Amino acid sequence: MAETGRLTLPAARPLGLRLRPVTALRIAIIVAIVVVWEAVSASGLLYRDVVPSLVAIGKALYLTLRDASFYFHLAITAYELGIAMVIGGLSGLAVGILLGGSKFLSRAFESFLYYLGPCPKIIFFPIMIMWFGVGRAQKSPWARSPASSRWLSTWRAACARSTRS
Amino acid sequence: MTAALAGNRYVPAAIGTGSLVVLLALIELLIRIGLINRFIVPMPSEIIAAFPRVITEENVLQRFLLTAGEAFSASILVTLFGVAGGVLLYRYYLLRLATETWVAAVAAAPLVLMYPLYLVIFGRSALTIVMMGFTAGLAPIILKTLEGLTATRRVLINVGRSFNLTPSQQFWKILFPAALPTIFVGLRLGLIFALINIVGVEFLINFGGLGQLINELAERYDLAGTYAAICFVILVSICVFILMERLERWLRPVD
Repeated sequence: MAETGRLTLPAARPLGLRLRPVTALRIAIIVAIVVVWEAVSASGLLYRDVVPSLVAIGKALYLTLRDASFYFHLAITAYELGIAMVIGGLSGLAVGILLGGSKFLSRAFESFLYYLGPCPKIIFFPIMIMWFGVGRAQKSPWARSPASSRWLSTWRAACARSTRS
Repeated sequence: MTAALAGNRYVPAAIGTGSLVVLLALIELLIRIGLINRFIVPMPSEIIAAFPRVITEENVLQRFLLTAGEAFSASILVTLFGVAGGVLLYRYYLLRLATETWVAAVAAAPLVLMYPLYLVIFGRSALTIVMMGFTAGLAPIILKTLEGLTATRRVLINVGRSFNLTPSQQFWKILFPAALPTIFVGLRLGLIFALINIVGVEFLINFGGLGQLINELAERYDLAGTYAAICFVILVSICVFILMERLERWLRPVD
């Protein structure tokens, strides 16, 4: 009988250390990555500051999490993300419903969105700076554009399905 | 009436293109009468006039070819390693259970932030840009390849078994063709991620093709030129997208 390549594993059996095979493999992979990282860090093949030891990274992470200003910056990012998602989601939803509800509009305008979707949005960065200045308002529209395309495609598909049915 | 218009092949396309032209004319008018600041938004006529200048003075063709070359190299790498990674995870179930969620997490991570590390490893060269594109595009292709192979209908696999196919035949004649549509969804996603990162890193490290051109023109405050360069990047994206569609149709002519 030909082998299909699909393996059927028996129910997870504990190893000697009472670890499931998946957990054991995960631990092995993590240990391997840590060992390779530390080896590269200690070898000096790359600049030490670029590949620092994990202890140094852990210390830096601890200090960052202890710093109150980190949470201020985190809140700003969360705020920008929230605003961008709301604006992008709502505008994408509105356009998606509009195009999904009308076959004519869909055929007229969808191709523009279809081809604009894969375009790297970072290229609009200099324009956004000119339009909105350097600040929070500039970042939100930038984040909004990919969010809009995703919402748009999702809702476009949903609306197309509903109009077909 | 609307249904008849929508059914027509040319009318919706003409309306769409016409609307774009009207919008550009409106922007031109608003800038000319001073409602939009011309030092923030250049006139569409100025952008069109900037095209020949950008093409001749800024070596757009050379930059276009450089970006396209980087995108092509990253595409080859990402396809080879992504599909192979997906097959590997499909073949070894334990490895899949252990790492699939990690791959999904990598797909969602902003990998562009790794560019300083890549700059040190590969230097400020096209290789850094290609490797950034490769890193960004890998995870979606692995996940979609895995999804396509896993979703192969049991009856097709059983047909292969009944013909006593070898594992290699089973893969190339049953599993791979059945998974191809999903693999192409992954390829499309992966290549889009790769292209976004390639242009993004060109822009960030001010090196290479069209991304660098946009950065340079923006720093020179050549607004019309910046918009013209953005149009070229959109053109590259469209070309990559169309190429993918053609390739997909060529590989699976029958739906």
